[in-house]
Amino acid sequence: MTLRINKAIWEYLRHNGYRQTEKHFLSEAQIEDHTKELLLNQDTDIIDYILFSKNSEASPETYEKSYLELKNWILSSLEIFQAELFILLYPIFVHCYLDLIRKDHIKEAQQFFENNNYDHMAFHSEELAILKSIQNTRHIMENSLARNFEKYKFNIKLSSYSFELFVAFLQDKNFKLLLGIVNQFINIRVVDVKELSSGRQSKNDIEQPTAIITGEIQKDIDRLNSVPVQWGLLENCIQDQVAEMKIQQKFEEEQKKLMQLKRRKRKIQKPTIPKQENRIKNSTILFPRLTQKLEESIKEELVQAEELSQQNLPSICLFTFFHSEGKINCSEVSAESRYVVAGFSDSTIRLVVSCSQDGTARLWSLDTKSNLAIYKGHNYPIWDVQFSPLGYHFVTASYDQSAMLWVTERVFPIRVFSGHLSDVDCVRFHPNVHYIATGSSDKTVRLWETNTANCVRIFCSPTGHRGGITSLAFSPDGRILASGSEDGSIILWDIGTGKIIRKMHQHESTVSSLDFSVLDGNILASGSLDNSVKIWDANMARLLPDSSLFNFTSDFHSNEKSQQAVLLLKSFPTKNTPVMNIGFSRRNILHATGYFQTNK
Amino acid sequence: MSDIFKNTIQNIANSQQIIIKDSSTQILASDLLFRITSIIEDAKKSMKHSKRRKLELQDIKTSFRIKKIESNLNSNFDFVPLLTSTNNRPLLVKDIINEPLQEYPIDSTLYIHWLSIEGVEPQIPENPIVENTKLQKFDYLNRVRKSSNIILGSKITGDGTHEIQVDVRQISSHSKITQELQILFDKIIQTYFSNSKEEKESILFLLANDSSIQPILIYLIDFIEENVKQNVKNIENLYILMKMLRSFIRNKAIKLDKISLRILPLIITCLINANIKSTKSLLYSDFCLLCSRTLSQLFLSILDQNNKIKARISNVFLSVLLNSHSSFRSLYGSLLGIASLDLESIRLVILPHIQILTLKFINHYIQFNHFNFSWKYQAFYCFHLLVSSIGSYYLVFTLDLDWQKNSKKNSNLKFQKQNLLLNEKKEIEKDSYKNESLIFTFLGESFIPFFYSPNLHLCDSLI
Repeated sequence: MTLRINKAIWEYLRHNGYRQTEKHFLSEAQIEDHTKELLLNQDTDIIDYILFSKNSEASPETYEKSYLELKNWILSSLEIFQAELFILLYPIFVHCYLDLIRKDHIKEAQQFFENNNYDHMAFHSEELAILKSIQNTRHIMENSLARNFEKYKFNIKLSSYSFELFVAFLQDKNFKLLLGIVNQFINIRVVDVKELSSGRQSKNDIEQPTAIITGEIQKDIDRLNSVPVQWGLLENCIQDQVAEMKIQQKFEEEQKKLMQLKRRKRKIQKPTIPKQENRIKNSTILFPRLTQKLEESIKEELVQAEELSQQNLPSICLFTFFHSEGKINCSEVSAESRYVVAGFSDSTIRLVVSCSQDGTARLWSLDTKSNLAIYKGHNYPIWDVQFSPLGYHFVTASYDQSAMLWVTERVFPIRVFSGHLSDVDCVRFHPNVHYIATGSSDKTVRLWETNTANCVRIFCSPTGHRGGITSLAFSPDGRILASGSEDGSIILWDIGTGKIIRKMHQHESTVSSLDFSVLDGNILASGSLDNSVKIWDANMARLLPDSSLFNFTSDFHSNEKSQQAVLLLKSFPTKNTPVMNIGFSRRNILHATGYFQTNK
Repeated sequence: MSDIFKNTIQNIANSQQIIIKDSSTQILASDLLFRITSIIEDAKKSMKHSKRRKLELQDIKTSFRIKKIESNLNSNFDFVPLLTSTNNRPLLVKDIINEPLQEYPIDSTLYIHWLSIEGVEPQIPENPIVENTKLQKFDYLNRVRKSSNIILGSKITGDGTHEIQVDVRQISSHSKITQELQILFDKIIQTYFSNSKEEKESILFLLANDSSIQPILIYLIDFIEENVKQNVKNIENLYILMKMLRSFIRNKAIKLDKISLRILPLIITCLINANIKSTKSLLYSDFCLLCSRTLSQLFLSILDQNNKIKARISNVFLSVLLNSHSSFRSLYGSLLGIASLDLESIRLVILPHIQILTLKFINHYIQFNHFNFSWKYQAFYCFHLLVSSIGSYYLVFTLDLDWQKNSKKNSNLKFQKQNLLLNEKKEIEKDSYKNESLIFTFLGESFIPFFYSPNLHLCDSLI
């Protein structure tokens, strides 16, 4: 780059005839004769841009003109490329607007915004509302969204052909302005058509992909996601022990039957437990062991858990809070179904770690019903808190774009996970405690290693969530991560590859909570603010071959919606209760909580 | 937006006796807009995390706290109405004291009930009434999936609930079907729920021509019966179901026999049903027409000889026609139904009651001051149908007379039988002549154009 700039300066000096300065410059920049030739051979486009862009950009009308011309060109291009190229329009729109403001053409900027914001209303209405309020350069510095736009690049995947088309268009019409914006703010990754279509679930999937900002370049994300992750459970964990106990029980029952039938001669072999893959042998995380009594009781309950499947749907128990509309903030039912906890807006917790908007997390004792400890670390409200499956550790998610790991014994955080570009809205522990998943308002989900606090996966896709992440859930085998969003979509991600397995879009409002059924993980339950609980077939979602394969095997399911219909086992509408939280108890009974809404 | 703020700033400055330049108010206003949006943005986050969809005052308070602004919002702010003094009237303490008290907030209570028991939503008052056909679609598919498992010999895990048991009995009472047929059956049902038109048409073609559907016919009728019950209001689904029925009747490779008696009530319910409404893509009249054609086809091809059934059905329609409470939709449907049976039933059922019926329709039509315009149109349509059905009756009659003249010239033996029939009809004509003259006196000349109106395709199956 310095070479190019040097050349540009040199060219400028030569152009204007500053001989003396040229000489000094050449000697100071240590440009020798052979490099001179090298410099002269470089293409002149970018140099021209650096040299003359300042003069040509001065008129604010060019922004709107070039934006409109690009839009018209995209709309008149072939339909196959239209969807791809349309992604480019939003980043260019944003940066044209911000550029205009930066150059103090406030009125023109507002005019430009008013004229063109309808193109992007469908997918970016919330961001547009924030952008609209920005009135001068200082606001850009203050607003976190605008700062992200300035700081980070948009990631866009284009097929090679449409990329060529785009570049040819920019050079043809001499759009230095757009070229500059693309150069500075957009990271285009040219990929195969195959890879591009693999993100879509079927041919009929007409979902418009969008540009994503994650703070990293697409290349880095792909590299990050290709690093292997140990998603397996811990060796000899409770789940395995329970599976063993269940098999033992079955064996004993069968033996009893045989005894009753008095066929002692026939012997049945004791079945062996199938070996699970990917188990973590030497855990690097230390945690105190559960007491014998507690472990026994957990195991006992898990053994009694009903196996859920497609045919055997769970029972749902709905806890409705009356007269609580606008007062209740959060609620949860404990896994052994003994306690219902609800957080109220007047800072009372009725009948446990709680988190609060005053930036503290508090530990409560259920035995004495009193506050045991206060953990202060975040300066801003904490949106979510969760204990690790084995206790001792807990993690908090905050408005300050970070998540923190704590242990109950210490009042300061032991790890800080930062990298999200917006608020961290929800947080979950991986069943093996080695990883933590966080969902954020920047529409992405990240997976962090607990020990090193490094980000190991970024779950994002052009056809991913359209709104902030509101809920997360790991499958019990630790392989799949489900995320729910404000726009009502649920996505299943493969932790191994970091790619989308399936997107399910049937809820009409925010997906407030997600959970997999205990032990088997066959069923995924989702609760939403659209007053319904939906039950999904998680096993089927995993098994259904995705993308192109699907179309050839049977045209029966070719329709995206009918696929979703197969996955959606049942929907349970409530009378007028937005579901705030759902969770499977250890006996696989689904607990849902919500507040009753009065119609006014 | 910023103009509003501009005025507000100017007003506030004036009240504090500060003079601000116009240019600086502009800058202040635009800054204010930005601040307020960012405060609301944070408040929205708080709202989101409280799992609400309504922004409340406490969210704004939280937002202030995030921004580290000392808020002046009183905690009792909720109960004090915002004071605005627009008309310069001093606010009296009396006014505030005399205001009715706010409702005392009730403490929140917890109530627990079952939303689902092993996948079945119990019908208790706490749960909403299931009416949504969308839900039932999945429900039905699931049950079919379950029952198909039984047929194929696989087990159901866990103890089956009452509902499953009913299904089992229904299907196991009939002979077992092969796996291929099971797939075919599943496919037919899937296509009914799918949206693609081509698939549906190909399935309808299959139903109308394939002989292999005979063994699963009874299941298909089961399916249609259930869905007619569920989709009472959904005209588009009913339309497809009716088309399926019609293709059964058209199919010459299968025998309907007793099943046709199960089809009849389905068609009649569709005709008489008052809840069906036309959508953008499908008119109610088109749907009725399809029903009536299916009915007439059923009688022509299968129930031709059975006059008892015909009489019973026309009686059903007549009772609807004479019922003073029945809506225009059911009147229209039953008129069409009678017209589709045959000429005989038009003569027997409609002609004797022509006066009552015409009065019924005309009254609604003529009353210009009637508050409901759609009623007026409906009445007109019914009347139009009535007149054209009678018209078709007389048209056939006159055609027959022409034919008679021709046949006399030919004087073939073949036509002698026909002549006998026509002689009978002449006698009938004498009877009905009274009715005819009655209509003419009643309606005058305006009646004539309806006689030969193009709407005669109603009874084309008869001609």
